[in-house]
Amino acid sequence: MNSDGVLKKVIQELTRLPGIGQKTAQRLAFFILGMPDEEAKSIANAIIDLKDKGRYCSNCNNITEDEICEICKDIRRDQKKICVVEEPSNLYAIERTKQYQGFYHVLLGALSPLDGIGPEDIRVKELLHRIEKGNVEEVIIATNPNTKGEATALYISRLIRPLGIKVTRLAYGLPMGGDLEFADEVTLTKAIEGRREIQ
Amino acid sequence: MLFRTQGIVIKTFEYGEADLIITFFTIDKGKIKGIAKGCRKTKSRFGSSLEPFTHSRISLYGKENISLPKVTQSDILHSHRRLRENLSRLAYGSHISEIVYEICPEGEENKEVFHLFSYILTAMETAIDLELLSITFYIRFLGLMGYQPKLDNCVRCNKEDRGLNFYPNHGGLLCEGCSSNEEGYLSLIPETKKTYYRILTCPLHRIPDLKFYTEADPGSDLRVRDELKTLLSLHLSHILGKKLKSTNSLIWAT
Repeated sequence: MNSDGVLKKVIQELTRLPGIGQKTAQRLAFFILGMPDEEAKSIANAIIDLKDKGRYCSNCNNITEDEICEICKDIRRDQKKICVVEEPSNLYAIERTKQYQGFYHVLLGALSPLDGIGPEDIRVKELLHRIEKGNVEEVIIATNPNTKGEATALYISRLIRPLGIKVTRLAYGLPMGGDLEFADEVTLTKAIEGRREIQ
Repeated sequence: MLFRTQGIVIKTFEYGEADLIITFFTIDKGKIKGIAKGCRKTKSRFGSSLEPFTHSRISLYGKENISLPKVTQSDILHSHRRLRENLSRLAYGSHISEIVYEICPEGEENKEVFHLFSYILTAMETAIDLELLSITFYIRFLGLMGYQPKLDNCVRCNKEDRGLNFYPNHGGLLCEGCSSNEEGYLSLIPETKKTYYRILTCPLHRIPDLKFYTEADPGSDLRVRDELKTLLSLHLSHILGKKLKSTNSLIWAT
């Protein structure tokens, strides 16, 4: 394969990534070409390692190298709280806030009647087992604020509430830095319903 | 070319990083698809206007023959948000949306179906008897689309017959003479057939007052409901050649 072929191959492979079009792929390929060898190899090895060693945590379904992920191993975390998210990427979004110190449970999907996705297709049963085994006092449902996420939240709440455990849902409303006049009616209604007193 | 219409979101499909491919059932263009760029991002200008069941005024932009025009604007006319805040309502709303999605052909206007669909979705937001509304939708929708099962005379010889055996493969009742070699039928009680036609002709606002039983047989309510549900489900499965995906949700969500 000539050098042009090698470059084309990298560009072609990079376009498989979400949000990467032909032009961005080309720019990234040329950037990689100009990188020191060790750095470029380090990226390649990281991708290989992720695919070879990456697996779901047997406790919470987060991505991990070991049987149990780092978050589940951390004994300093609040064992009385479990935050339920749809995907591992949602877990990292919450971790970035540094505000939450409890554990997580990743469902690896969301309920969707229209797509025929029911409770047996996501990891709800595993969540119930965890709650039954541990001394959980609060389950925070952080599924996406859309129809699938709402359906999942309602279903989980229906299962957990009879166990006498507090079930909470992330607040709905306006995104920070936004402008009120551009908010749609449903978002604004939710924001009004969920208003709270200024302390 | 930019065109404006109003439509109800019947299906969404996540595409790429933050885009959504939406299927609308519109008032003047029937079932159409469009792509909304970046609409899954928190600060998207579309907000919740592209969530399932939402009735919006929409603008789409694309070339004449393009299969996937771009959704450029969407303003909510009726959010039907209560359907998304209750599992049973969500399951029934999804079920009738899937029927529209599967049966209505793309690009064919049908104002009567649009108004029926919109009416039933709105009624489902507050109704107690969601099953009755779902049965009503099935019966009226099949009638409007020309798929109504034949329950008056024999579907083969058109002879009037007292027999009440529904054959899904034939889309109606078969008389004794025509059904000698046929298998796989559903036996109906007379009240089921009567109720079917009552639902078909009754004004929509009177549907909640409909009784499924006669004075002579007050206990027939459950049987009539069950028979109607089975009849409609068998008939629809025969038309589509498959089972609807949302059927299971009527079990786990209700």
